[in-house]
Amino acid sequence: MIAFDNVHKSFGRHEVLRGIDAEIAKGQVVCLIGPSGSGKSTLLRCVNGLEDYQRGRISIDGVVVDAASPDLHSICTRVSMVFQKFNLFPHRTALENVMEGPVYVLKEDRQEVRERAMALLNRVGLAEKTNSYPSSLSGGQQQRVAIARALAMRPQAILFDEPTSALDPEMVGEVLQVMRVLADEDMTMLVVTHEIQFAREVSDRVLFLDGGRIVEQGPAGEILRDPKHDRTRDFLRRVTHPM
Amino acid sequence: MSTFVTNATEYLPILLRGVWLTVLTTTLALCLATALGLVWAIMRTSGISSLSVPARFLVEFLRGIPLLVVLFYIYFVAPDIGINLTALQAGVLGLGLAHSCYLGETFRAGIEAVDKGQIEAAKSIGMRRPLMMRRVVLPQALRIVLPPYANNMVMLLKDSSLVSVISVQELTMQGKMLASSTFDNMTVFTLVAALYLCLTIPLNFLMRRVEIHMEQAG
Repeated sequence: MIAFDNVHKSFGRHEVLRGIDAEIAKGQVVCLIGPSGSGKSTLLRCVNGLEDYQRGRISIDGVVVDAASPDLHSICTRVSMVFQKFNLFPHRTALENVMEGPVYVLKEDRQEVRERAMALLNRVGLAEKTNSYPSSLSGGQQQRVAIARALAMRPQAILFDEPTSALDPEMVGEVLQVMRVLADEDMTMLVVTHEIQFAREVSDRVLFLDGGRIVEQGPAGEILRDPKHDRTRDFLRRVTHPM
Repeated sequence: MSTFVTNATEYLPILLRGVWLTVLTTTLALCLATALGLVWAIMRTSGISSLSVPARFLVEFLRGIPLLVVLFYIYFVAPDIGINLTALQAGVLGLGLAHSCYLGETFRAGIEAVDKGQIEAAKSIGMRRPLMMRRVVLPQALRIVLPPYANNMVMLLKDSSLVSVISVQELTMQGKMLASSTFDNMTVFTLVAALYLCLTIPLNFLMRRVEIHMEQAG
């Protein structure tokens, strides 16, 4: 469904992606792991055009993603994103945040969207908070609203950019739980994460990135239990045993 | 003291006619300055150089000329090129143009202060730029900009006294005429100053209320 074909990107003279090849099938959950600066967030942001890339090709269902293309907007309506810092619209309530895309971008019927948005907020456990503004919600609650906002677009895939990194430790669980349910429902998900345990339990496949390349990829259990590559082994040891 | 009160009650109706024109000039000029200021700000933040460069030059150009000179220019030079404006029209135009520069810069700062994550979130749900500006950026910029905007409003109101030099009979002009016919400078200008304060203080108070209200709304 999402295909990377020899993708290269640089910021000025600094090359952050040096030839990424990978394919994510429909319904798969793929985790991108790797040290900071390895290019995993950049790769994710190239998928919905928040970053452009210089060489190679990213395509979604055969449609090439090109940040300069005027059709980029229609790609964004098919692939949603959840951000590290939630990025909820602070001047709108939880419900309005969820309704914003379908009503104003997809121009769907407001009443219908409203009901769907309520159902989504209920699903992420926030039925009580529909009329709260983001500033009165905890980090975990905000991120769950952000997931509902992403789902409201009825996307074919969701990109998660370190969705739990900005959360207090006690709130990580509630967000991962929502993601786990999504994965069980066969949502296609591409997740940049440092949650190795989550990657092991939930993802179908893990891509380990370092220095702008995919060093190793394969089924989560295999890679995380028995990494072939020194760099993967080293990285995993450091994140699982930081002391 | 009693003569002050007697004289004041005599002068007040005349000065109030001036107050009306001051309010009218300020309101019209504020509408013009706000609309134009928004245009300059959107041009400057568009990222399109054929829009941002002219807007920058225009703002720099107008900001560099004293308001009095702008007013003289519009009122006295424009007829030479076939544009005849009444004093009020010229005053509103001059005030509006000059203040559109300050407001434009204020709005620009407000737009640029909106968190970049907001723009990414808007893009990530497929918003195009105009929709993003209208639904995401401008409402948030408005909150950031409100305190300096209120400040600009009060400055504009005070600057409206300058249009007296092109014979708009607003508060300052009425005061000056009254003072020169009665020689009662003390009473007249005390009243003029008090009347300005009666306009500016409630205005400040009102804007403060709006600000608090908007903060409460999230």
